[in-house]
Amino acid sequence: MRAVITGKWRQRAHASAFCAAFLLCAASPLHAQASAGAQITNVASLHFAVDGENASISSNLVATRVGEILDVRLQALGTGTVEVSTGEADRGIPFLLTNSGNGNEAFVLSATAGGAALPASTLFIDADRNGEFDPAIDTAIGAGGTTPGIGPGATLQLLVIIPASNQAGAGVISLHAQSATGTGAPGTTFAGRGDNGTDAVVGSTSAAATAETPFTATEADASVVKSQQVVAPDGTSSPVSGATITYRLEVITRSAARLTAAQLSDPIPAGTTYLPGSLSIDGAALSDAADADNGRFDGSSILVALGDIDQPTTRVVTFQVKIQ
Amino acid sequence: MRFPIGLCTALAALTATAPAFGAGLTVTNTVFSQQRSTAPDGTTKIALTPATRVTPGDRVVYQLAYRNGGAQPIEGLTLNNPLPDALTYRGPAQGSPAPEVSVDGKTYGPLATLKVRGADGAWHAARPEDVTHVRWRIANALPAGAAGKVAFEAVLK
Repeated sequence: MRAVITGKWRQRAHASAFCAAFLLCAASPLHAQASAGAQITNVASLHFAVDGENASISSNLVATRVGEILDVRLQALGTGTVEVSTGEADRGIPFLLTNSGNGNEAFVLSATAGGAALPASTLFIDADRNGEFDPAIDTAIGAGGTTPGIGPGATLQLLVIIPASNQAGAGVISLHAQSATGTGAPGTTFAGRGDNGTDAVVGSTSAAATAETPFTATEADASVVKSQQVVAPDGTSSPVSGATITYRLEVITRSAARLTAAQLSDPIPAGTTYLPGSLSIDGAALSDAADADNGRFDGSSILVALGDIDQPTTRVVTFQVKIQ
Repeated sequence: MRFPIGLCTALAALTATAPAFGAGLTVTNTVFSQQRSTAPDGTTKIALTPATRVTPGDRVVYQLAYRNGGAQPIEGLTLNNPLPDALTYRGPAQGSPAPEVSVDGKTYGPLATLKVRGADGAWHAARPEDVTHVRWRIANALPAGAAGKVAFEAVLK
């Protein structure tokens, strides 16, 4: 989830400080293809008469196995140019991958930012499909950049994180996906490498796809840097059920900014429960109730009033949630 | 991608060599895949090869070759072929008489005479993809020793 600062701004508010989640329901109805590995059988029956006596027979059965077509589609989600605040470490650029083949297939991903290759560690599956990066929920693709296998017609929503070191100026985030079995000109065959040992055949997409989203990185008037620490019941940092996540929101305003009645809000991530009494600002506890102090928990988000800010300021808000 | 449970690594079309018998009547069902290629002179060449593997969009031809191996003539011969679900009917294969078709397995006739009920509840003219059965009725008696072939073309969904 993305923390948001609201309030009145003397200068332009930086778009990236606001939630920019666009969830496109790209449920384009796929023509139901014959599944890879399926067997198609055909038998004819014959009816006839000999000497006035009716009889019937069946033909032999012919069986043909369906080969696997390798096809993939990739689509940039969201519209227009993504604005990134320099230093923002958790900005995910959403893409939608569709297995448009007829078999179970994994896809190898690779991404570039401004032409420079990004490591596989910048690639995530947007598990809750909210278009935003949340390390406690979203799944790392991992070294090698290969997705899990998905069924025919299934989709994966993906996120590419732009590392701070790739945020110079403007550029394009480009994501490439290709079938793990192989790519090539349509009709290229990989003998025996399809589902159930059938042949895999490259389809009309060449089993590869690329999608791009332009971005600009600028110094924000104000930014929120969010980080988190996970402590599991067993003492490890695995984001498992029962683990506690401590979120730290660092609100930084620069000299150019003047905010009035600024308020920081951050929704509690889906699948987690707010830990009562865990909200604090600059180390001082804030009560959860809507009362005299500046913080509260409204049942779904933490809200902290930051008041008027007219000089470079850093405020640190922390709170905790438990993974359900 | 490959799955380890590869029991069926042999994917050749199982064109059974043992035909079915009945009162001297034998029938052999064979599936071919159809390759279209453009010849240097611009004409389209259609080649039929045994269907070793098919992928969605491929055109296949099912051929029924029948023969009266008995001593008596065979009368009223009807060949009925329910279409496998994964196939969409396209039409008679080149050189074959056109079958009667059905969209319900009960009423047969030329496609143009058939109707199907759409999702909106209204009846509309049947299209090739609505066909569920094909049938040939051989009008004349098949004399002893005589043979024939019928075939239809379909596309893998």
